[in-house]
Amino acid sequence: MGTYPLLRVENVKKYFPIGRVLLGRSKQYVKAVDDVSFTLDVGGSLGIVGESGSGKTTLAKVILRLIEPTSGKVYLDGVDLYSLNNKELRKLRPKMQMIFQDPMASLNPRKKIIHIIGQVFKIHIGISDVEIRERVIDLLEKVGLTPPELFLDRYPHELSGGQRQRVCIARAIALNPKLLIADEPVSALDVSVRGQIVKLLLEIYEKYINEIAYIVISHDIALIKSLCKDTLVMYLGKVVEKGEVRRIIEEPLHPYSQLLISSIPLPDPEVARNRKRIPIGGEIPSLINPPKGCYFHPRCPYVMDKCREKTPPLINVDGRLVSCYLY
Amino acid sequence: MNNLKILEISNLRTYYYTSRGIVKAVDGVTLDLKKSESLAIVGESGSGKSTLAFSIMRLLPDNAQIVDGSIWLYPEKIDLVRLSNDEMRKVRGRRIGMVFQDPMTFLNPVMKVGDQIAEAIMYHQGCTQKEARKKAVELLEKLRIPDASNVALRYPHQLSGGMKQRVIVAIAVSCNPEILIADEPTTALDVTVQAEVLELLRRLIHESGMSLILVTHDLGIVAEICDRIAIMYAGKIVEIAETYSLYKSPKHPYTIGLLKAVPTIHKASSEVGGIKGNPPDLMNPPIGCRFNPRCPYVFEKCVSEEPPLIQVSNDRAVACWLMT
Repeated sequence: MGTYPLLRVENVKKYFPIGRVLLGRSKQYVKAVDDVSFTLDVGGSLGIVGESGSGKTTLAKVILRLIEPTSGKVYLDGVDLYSLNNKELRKLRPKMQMIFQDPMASLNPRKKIIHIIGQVFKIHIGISDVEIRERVIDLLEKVGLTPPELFLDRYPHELSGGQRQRVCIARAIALNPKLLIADEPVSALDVSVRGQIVKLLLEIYEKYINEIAYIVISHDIALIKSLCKDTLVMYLGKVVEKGEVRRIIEEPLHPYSQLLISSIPLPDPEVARNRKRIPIGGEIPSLINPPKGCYFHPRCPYVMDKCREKTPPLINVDGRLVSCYLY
Repeated sequence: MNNLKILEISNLRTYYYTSRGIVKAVDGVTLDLKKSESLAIVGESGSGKSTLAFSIMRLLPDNAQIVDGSIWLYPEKIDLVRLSNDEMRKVRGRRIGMVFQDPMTFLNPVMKVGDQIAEAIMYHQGCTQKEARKKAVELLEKLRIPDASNVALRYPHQLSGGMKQRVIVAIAVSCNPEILIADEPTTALDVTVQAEVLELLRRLIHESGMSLILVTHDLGIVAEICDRIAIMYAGKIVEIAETYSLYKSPKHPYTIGLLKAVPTIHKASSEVGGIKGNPPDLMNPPIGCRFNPRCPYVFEKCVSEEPPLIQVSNDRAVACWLMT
């Protein structure tokens, strides 16, 4: 079975209008996602890394059409998602699933686990209650909630954070999705529990590698590295670098990637204290009035005149895409 | 760094009295801090690390109480647990400063940040408002805030997260305390801003000779700035060691698991492990070693008897029966 592009994202933009509406049109926009394009093959794994406000979550939601885009196109398995009406879109939903950051907020507190997971079967394929029970048991086993019978009749508040996230994962894979997006899947969990969930996600990915593609969104490039092969680095709604995670960590090309990598706290005092620090200060500018030209130029130590004028395009450097005039 | 003790905590117990029962958040902690030393207290949520920090400051909520133990502040060896509220108010801020996790909740939203720093200076140093304001601006400059005199006139909501955290640091160090306690000082910040605030803290304690207690769940940030690390689990210290040797050869099974549970950029994904199970309920902690239900090396003694913190070498103590 060969690989083929499962997801194609073309020039996707999401602008949120803000401020006073004048004659029905807002004058200012927050450009949360600004012209993002990429393709993802079956079996592929892509990370989206960025700080808060970089638009990584908005991008995920726009890809799944959980919010409407401002412009652009998204193709899933060749189907143009933005051309579908609600009914058609709902039919396609089983193919694309998302795991959210806070498992408590994404599980209905009044429903038992069997109903939370079973509901997806009810809505999308309509099977009997007996069959649903069997399938839910099977899923709970897959995500390591054993013995499954013990969990069927529990409510979300009776589970620990890690167990809740497992329920969310079970629900997301229930209908064999083609595209799975995990948004900060471990950041709401206790540190000692994070490793378990990372392992579970890796297991699931390996099991379905010939059928699915997945995206992991995080502010933590170390997490992305342990889950994905490639990554996008986002800054203020734009992709500044794209390539293999391993290579970006070893040798980040974009000055922002360099800053990001050198800022990561390393749990190893020898490496942490001897590494080179990049003297970049400043803070992330506001998205309402982003700087002209390259958005990173006010913080960039290598800034040139050109950077203040025009946004650098994404160019291919050594098999990676970088948006910087240095290259 | 020298070996002069500046703070000594001995067998401290802080309990919360709730409608469901007693939560033993800090349950028999013994610890000392030396002059100019930076000590990290690392633990997960619910391990009691913040309660320990707030106990030292005596800033506990109404339903919490220090039920046993002492907190000696040197050189006079005064016991903070036994000070009256008035006496404690003179220690707080002047001798022990504190930086909190979320800068927005600890800054007054309707007061200019310069005045908030000046307020602490006026209270403890008894100078005029004009002098205090001038000192506040100087402090902000020292913390590398660009355009400090202008920033001092702004309100918290006009500043970014990193700036607000620097204002909090400015308030905490405004009276040159001997000890600075930082409770998750960078958790609310973005990673690039976090690196800057950490750098600032490191420089500050280095230049002033202040001692630091850094409370955090992140083993990454302590590797960068701390001399010694105490690992807390379920209200107790399970391991305490000098930073380099702790990372090189962790001894307590919990420490080993914790170091494995976090993905890092130098770790292959196959190396990411985890600790099975979940942190315990502190209302009904396990009998014996509190880590025993999750420990891969558990044996009979662990489920019946609680291991004491045993000094295994010069710079390391571990609470585990495997060490005996």
